[in-house]
Amino acid sequence: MASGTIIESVKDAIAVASTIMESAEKEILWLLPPAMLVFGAQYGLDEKSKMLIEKGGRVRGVTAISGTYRDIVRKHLEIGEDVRHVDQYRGAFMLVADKRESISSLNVSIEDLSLDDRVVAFWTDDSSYAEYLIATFEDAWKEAVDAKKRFQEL
Amino acid sequence: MDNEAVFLSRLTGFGLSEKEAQLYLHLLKYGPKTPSPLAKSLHTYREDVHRTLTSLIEKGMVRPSLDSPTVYAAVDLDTALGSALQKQESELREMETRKRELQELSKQQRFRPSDEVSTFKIIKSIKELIAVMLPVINSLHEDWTMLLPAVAAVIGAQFGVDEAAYEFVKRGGRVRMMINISYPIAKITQGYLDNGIEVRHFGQEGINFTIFDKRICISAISADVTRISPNESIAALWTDDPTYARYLLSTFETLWKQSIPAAERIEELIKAGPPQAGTAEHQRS
Repeated sequence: MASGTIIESVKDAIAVASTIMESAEKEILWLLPPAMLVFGAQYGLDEKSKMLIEKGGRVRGVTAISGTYRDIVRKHLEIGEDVRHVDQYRGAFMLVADKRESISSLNVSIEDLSLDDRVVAFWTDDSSYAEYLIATFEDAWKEAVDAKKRFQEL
Repeated sequence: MDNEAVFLSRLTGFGLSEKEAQLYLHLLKYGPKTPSPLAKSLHTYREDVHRTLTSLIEKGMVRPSLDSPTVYAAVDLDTALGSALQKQESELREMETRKRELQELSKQQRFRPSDEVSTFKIIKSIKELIAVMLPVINSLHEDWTMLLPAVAAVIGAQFGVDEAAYEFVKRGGRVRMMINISYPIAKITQGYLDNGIEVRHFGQEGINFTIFDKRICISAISADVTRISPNESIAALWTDDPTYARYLLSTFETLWKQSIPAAERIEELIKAGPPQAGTAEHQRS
């Protein structure tokens, strides 16, 4: 039976994302504000992504790439992730593993996020919910531009 | 990337938000300042500068003066980064503890509040959405909460959802709505207020959901409806999962505090008059 829980801080969201990534076997999709990537790197999430890619998994991500976050995105590309840039995204943020387990949030501020912020996020291992998130991710992915192209623009 | 951008990037790597990094660098470069010139230089509002300064003070990277007016000074880089590092280390330990606790909870499968079976299903058209919603509204007991895009006001009026909501209010129910109020829907919004619906303006589109009696929810992350017809495609999620309902309610309450009363917004729009042809506002309407 699928289950769900509410997460109420950026720190807890990172801890949950870390657990989701650890259990992923095939694929991770993420659509996140860039500040989350910085926090993720501080807590070793990129290492978990790297391990998944090394054992044959795939990681795709979409974020808003600005000059400030160019280095962090470059690191994600270096470990083998496919990353794209999206402008003005206002929908849900998410991380989905193996089309099943996910964490998502509707009210993350994309402009200015700090580790101490309160967010409301939802974790579930319901595959229908994952399917719903993936549909949104794929829409954003189609509209997004390749990170390398974005680097040239910057 | 120039040196300043690299510096800002490294500061965000230390856990600072982009605004915090910019403000700290500014104080380092130009010396102690009061909030007003900082707001001017950083092209933002004083309230925003105050928020960022408070956060930097908590992080040990800025110090306020004791005299009046208060002047804010950057703590020297070594000391500031040392205290940021200490904070990160203690947070890392805290997060490792949280992670262990979450893993333990996950093993015990204690997330589910009851053994009831909840379901998620995807709704694919406006017709299906209305068909699902109307019986739920007619059997509502306590409250109906929603965050909607502007187009929902037109759909609601066309398909009888408004009338069902007014009936519910007459039965003693509470209806709260956040919507992106623009000039074309100002009149419809006034109608909601006149019929006892609590309405606030939320100027951001892209997040839409509704919760019935804290249990049944419908959410649509990216409902980009261009034509209003029953067969128009949408991708919405229906669920009766109480945890998901709590999640959406909690999100709603957070956003409700950030929104503004509808009456205030309507007055503003009427004062400004109809959007002029060729403007962005006109194209949106």
